[in-house]
Amino acid sequence: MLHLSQMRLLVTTLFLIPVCVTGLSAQADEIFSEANYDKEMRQVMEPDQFPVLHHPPMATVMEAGLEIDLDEPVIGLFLGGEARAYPISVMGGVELVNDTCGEIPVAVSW
Amino acid sequence: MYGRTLDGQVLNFGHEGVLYRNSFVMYDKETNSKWLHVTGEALKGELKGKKLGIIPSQIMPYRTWKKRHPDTGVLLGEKVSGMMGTFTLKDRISSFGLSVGEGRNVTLFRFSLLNRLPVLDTTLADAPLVVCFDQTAIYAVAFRSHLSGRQLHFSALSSVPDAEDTRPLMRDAETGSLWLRMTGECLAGELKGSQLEQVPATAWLGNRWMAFFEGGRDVQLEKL
Repeated sequence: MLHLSQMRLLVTTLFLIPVCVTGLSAQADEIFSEANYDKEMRQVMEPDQFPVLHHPPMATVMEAGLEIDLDEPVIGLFLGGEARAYPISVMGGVELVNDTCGEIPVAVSW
Repeated sequence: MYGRTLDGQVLNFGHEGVLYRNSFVMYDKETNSKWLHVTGEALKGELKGKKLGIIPSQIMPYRTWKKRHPDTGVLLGEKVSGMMGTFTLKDRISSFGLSVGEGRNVTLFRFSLLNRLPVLDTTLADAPLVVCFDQTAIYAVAFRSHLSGRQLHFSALSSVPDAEDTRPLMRDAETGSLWLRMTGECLAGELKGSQLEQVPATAWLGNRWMAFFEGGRDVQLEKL
């Protein structure tokens, strides 16, 4: 347990963390370049071999029942007046969903 | 979570079967451009350099989500266990952070830090914001802390004593108003009814974030 004075020091120090913005820009430009992508990318399977969902049907809370554990993390989306829950345990086997929520096209990735 | 509409065109994505820095790559069926799913940026192809708009989403326990949205739709399907499928609460504190901002200008706030400092006033590109953490549900969210020309500074409160409502709260120093920490809605006080604007932010595995933003602003206890 931190003493109050230690906590104050902690909070004060937090805002003094040096930020290496210039270094990041140069490095990031390389990481996000096509040349570096071509050099480092690894083709681990054929395109579309990994399953992707397109506009999957959604269950109601009642229909989902106990299939989703209450403590299970979900990616929650509330958009255009509509709410959707994408359980991490399901997304782990899909990784990508082309969906529409509140009539707005979205890509859910994990 | 991204919008799929770019310059008026709706894109449909597939899995390229490629890993780049341990993160998978998407392609769009319309132009076959290659997109990083972790940043929503096209690295190759006709749409190279374009970015998908981030749509704010939150990772939280199903219990919390459906309490907030009882009419939510739920995706059902085959469950996958292991690293990509499930995380225990302890895993999430030690492994995840909230990446706030867009493009290169992002900052990672580690959950391990936010678990100790669940309401954190900070800045991003000179814009003041507050990063909030739910220590029970283990998720984070960020809001602009500038409201109607006034800069607010927040501190964490536990839930209202003896109340049934256990949602985490915070209070602003300027007016003493009471706010819902995870939705940015003001419940009581001078600013009652006000709503803080949510900032684009995504939960990342810390090591994957570092693979793209090494040298970036990584705010964690261990660095203090």
